[in-house]
Amino acid sequence: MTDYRQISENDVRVDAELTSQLFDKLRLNPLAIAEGSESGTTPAPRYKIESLEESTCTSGTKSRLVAFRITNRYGGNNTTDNLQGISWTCNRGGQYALHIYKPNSGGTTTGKVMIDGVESDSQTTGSAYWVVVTLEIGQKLRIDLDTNFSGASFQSATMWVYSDNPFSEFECLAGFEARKQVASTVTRFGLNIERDIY
Amino acid sequence: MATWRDIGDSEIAVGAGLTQPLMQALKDNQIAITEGEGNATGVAALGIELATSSSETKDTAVCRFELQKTGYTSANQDNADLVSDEYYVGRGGNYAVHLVTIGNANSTAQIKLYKNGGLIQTTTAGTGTVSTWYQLDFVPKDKIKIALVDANTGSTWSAGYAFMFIYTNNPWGDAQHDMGKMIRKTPSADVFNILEIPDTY
Repeated sequence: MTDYRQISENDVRVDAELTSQLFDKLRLNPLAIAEGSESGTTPAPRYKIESLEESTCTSGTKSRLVAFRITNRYGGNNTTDNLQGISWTCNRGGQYALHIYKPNSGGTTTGKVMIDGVESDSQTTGSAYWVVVTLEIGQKLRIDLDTNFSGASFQSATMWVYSDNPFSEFECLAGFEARKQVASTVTRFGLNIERDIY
Repeated sequence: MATWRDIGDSEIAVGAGLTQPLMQALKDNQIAITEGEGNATGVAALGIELATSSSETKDTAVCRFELQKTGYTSANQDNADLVSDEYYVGRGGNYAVHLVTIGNANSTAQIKLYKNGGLIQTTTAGTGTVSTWYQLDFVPKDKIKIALVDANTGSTWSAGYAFMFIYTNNPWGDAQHDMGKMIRKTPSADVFNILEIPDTY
């Protein structure tokens, strides 16, 4: 493992002497950083999450699934209460492609993409569609379901989140479901996955 | 936080003067990359060490897939291949791919392995359990899938099972896939589910 040796401000000041030791540090420190070296004058700096290349995506391409969310209502609740989805927290900034499916099942229902609680997209169409969003680390993404129809037997808004350049081998296998059922004013949560066949 | 500054080619051209700002940038840019400062070059997934694998050691599973076809008779014969979803490769390298088929007296099951839609491997057809290992190179954005095939088209394809497990021995991330995706096709229903798919073969 390569030693990491700190370069001081004094080493690079105006009129500082150019030494072979200095150029050796300039040559070897990048290697020590890449190796995560613990040896030398000080441990090499670690890569922070912010240093990772931002996520990229292609609308319409089902690349790596990194999150899944579904927000739905079962049964006529005799209410038009809207339903808030469960947030997914972005751990790497960049662009993500959202594939959203919100079938119409009576009345007007709206799937609303929310970023940190602020609406960024809203659709009432019954067809699946794609939206590209730009997120920063720590931002929370969710899909809400709004309705003006109290008698529908089933209403849902489904969201798949894709990245083209994932940093891990592990794909998302399931995600949260927020469900409100007839005769219940309580929103229940569960684990769910739907194949993205749309 | 160190400040990133682009170093122009002219600053390091033959005969260029060695300046204090150049030395400052050479020193600070190394740190700025690790901190993700401003316009510093991001660490790309392509810069990560490639995946490596060992054949038949079942290290860390990054993908588990099971295909089932059951319940067919001569009255509802269906010889169509059953195809899995695609596994999207995030990190390139060498992966151990374990393919398993289970057929029966009438159905000689085999697997066709596809990469980006092109057939790259076909396992030996068998009526019993057939286990096959490959060590294959993938690059980022490759899409991998399998098809469960009955090689004995002269008889009723009553049932067949296919499994795909993909392993690496230097995983990038703390997770592993203890669960996998299952597709079951019967005359009455197509079922998709997430469930435990242990590699006991």
